[in-house]
Parts: sequence; C-alpha cells; structure tokens
Amino acid sequence: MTATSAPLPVPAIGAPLPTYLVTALDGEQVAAYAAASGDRNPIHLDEDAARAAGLPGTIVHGMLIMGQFEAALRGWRPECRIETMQTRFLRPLAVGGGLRIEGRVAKIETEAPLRLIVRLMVRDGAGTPICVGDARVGL
Amino acid sequence: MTDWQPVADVDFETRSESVAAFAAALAGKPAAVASEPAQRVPATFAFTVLSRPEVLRVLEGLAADRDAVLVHQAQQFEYFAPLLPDSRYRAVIDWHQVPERADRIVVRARLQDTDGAEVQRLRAEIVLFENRRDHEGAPSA
Repeated sequence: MTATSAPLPVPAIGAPLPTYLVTALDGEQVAAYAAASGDRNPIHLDEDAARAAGLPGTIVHGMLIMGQFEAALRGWRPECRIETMQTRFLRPLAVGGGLRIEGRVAKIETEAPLRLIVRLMVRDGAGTPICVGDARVGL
Repeated sequence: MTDWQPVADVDFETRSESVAAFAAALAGKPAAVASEPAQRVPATFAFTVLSRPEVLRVLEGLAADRDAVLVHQAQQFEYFAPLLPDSRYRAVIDWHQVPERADRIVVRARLQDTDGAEVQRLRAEIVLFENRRDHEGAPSA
C-alpha cells in the first residue's frame, strides 16, 4: 500500500507564513558565506574597513539575508516552485544580529496552476525592518 | 531605452562541493555538512557569478572612479528552469547606469544552459557609496 498525503489547502489572501527565525548571523557564518560566495567585500569582514566606509562596524551580506527567503518559503511549503524573488535592503544588519522573516500571501495570480505572490518582511532582533521583498511561487 | 554595457561572458558551474558549501553557509551549519551532496542549488547561488574576478574588476573600477565602495541596494531573481548540481552554464553579465542617479548602477546576469536557453536572470542594484561619515545615512547591505 502506498501512503499518499492530502494536498495542502489553498492559502487565502492574507494568510501568514510561519515566522522564520535566525538567532544570530555571527562572524563565523559571515566568513563562511564570504568564502562560499566569493563576496569578500571588507565591509563584511573587517571592522576597520567597515568604519572607514562610514559604518559602525561590519555588516552581514545582504545576500546572506536574502538567502534566508528560500528557507522561509520552504518552511511553509517545502515543494513550492520559486519563480521570482526580489528584495530591497533598507538597513544594514550588524554582524552578530538576528533576524525574523514574516510573510503573508498577498495575491493569487492564477488558480490553475496555483501561483501566488508572497510578501516578505525581514526584521532585526529589535523588530526594525531591514529588508522587504516578495516572491512568486507555484504550488 | 536602457543602455546596457557588457561586463563579461563567463562559464558558470554548479559543482556539488561549491553548492554544498554555499548551502551550509546560508544555513549556518558546520563546514562538515558541506561535504554532503547538494540536492538542490540554492535560489541565490547564481549571485556568486558577480564575485568572479572578471566581473569584480569592472564593478570595482566603477566604484574606484568615485572613490566609493559597492553597496548592494536591491536584488531580483527570475527563474525559468532550475539550476542543476554539477552542471555548466554560460553567464552573460552587463550593467547600466540608473538614469539621473550617478551613484547607482544595475548589474544583470543571464544564465544560459548548454543549448543557449535562458534558465535564470538576476539583477542587482548597487550604490557606489562614498564615505559619508560626516553626513547622515549609511549603506544598506
């Protein structure tokens, strides 16, 4: 006998995604991301260089933050098909800071196949928005 | 009409070990996890093509002209087909100045499979950020 799972219900407009938490993006993770991505911009890795650029200290790569979108989406619907993702970075996140990704279904573009627009908001540990974005996903 | 300027055409590979290291770094997992085979290429992996020396040379040159640093302001991805682990693609990269914003550029990368079909497109909006320690404002990312 083959077990089959029932399809997940079609989400309603406004339906929230589970909040996705990252406790801290610390220096070790930022360094690992720099090595894996090839983005060794010193504003992410070198306190002096970051200050020389006018920052209070090193900041997390924007793409390390955006890279969490996929985990947030797959934490909600593991098999979703991501068709687009976009974001705008509003504020820097200091290395060591945590973040919280909130999302909600903003629009149902098509019902067959089911295709949704999901709005995403990333807040730092203090609750301040640091980037906003959206994704078009197929389910 | 946008005046795209060529940056580079480069080979882009999704070697399993590179993809696994990238996925582990995103997830904050130990490096040992990166030795596990990659099941799926992360959605943002293709951005790494902008860190290639051929690309950085052009972008850093644009920043150097203004005594600025590159600061990532916004990012878009469009996916036409999934990137597959251990596959080879061609990336065509170009850029343009944002109209009426001398300190802002858009860099685009279009990834094609071996048949020339476009599989993914990404656009990065980048600020050429001049040191403004004596002024208000700070880079975003």
